[in-house]
Amino acid sequence: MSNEHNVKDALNIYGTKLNSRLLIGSSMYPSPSVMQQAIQASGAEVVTLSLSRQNPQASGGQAFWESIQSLGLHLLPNTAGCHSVNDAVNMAQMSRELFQTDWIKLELVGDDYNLQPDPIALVKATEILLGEGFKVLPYCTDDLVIARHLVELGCEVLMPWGSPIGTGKGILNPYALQAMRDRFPDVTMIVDSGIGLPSHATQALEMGVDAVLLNTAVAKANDPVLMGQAFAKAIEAGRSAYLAGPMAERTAASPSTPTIDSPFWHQSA
Amino acid sequence: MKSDYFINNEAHEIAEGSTINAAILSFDAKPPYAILVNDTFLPKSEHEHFILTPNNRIEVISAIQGG
Repeated sequence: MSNEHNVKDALNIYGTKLNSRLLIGSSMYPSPSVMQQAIQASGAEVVTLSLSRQNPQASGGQAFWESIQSLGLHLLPNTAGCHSVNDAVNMAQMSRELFQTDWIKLELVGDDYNLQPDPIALVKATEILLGEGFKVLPYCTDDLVIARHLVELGCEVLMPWGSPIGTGKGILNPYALQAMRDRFPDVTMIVDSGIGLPSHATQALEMGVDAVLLNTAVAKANDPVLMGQAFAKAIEAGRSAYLAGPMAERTAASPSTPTIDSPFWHQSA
Repeated sequence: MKSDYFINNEAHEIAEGSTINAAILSFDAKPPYAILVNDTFLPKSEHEHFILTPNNRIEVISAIQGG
């Protein structure tokens, strides 16, 4: 795509325009160096990170922070591991002070088996954080009604799951995601979890989803740098296909060669 | 006189009447960090004014990898 096209077709996150439609995580890479190379290869302009207790005796935390800063990307802190509204709000406030950003990827775990978001706590925390000036990117399921509550509160971004975090199962319920896309055409929609393959990302973008956020699929690949490149291409292909307007699916066959039903020498001139 | 405070779940003896900044110094925290006191965020602007009381639980929080 040309630069001019990219500017017109930018991803919009609360008014920030981005060329890449991939948001990427910073966890589980085999080394800090591979993390940096894979993130750069993916073309992502947003990287997610989190918070934990500091251990002054361990140097890894400081090294990670310096490594992330050197990438020069937008930071998207998350509230991973929070089970209560209070914990999520506290974590968001600490993240804003530490990372100097109003963006928060709001995660509230409702069940430890599939890490499914708690929809009730999510809505409550979203309301509090939007009221405090945060730009909330809520990690939600593909439930249309919860999405509607989040949008009505003022969320300009929705981040539904494709499948549970880290499973790599792709988009388990395309109908639900398509319904969300159709119902909220002006909201930035990012599939946030379950993407395992570049083809899953392509599928999401072909549906009109604005972007994907992933981590494990790149970090746990045998070659994370090559997989980062693969996702960049897959996402570009999916977006181009969406903009191009796919053909309508049909039940009956239809010949693509006009004369396929009879040899041309049997046809009249 | 010194009292016990908990920093990242470990007991530390700090002089009574100390501020959060004094506690952070004794912990040798590396910036950048954020602070929780008794499970509540304490903004940086309050670190030098907030006076600890015995058994306060302080958490020193910093960046880690995340997805």
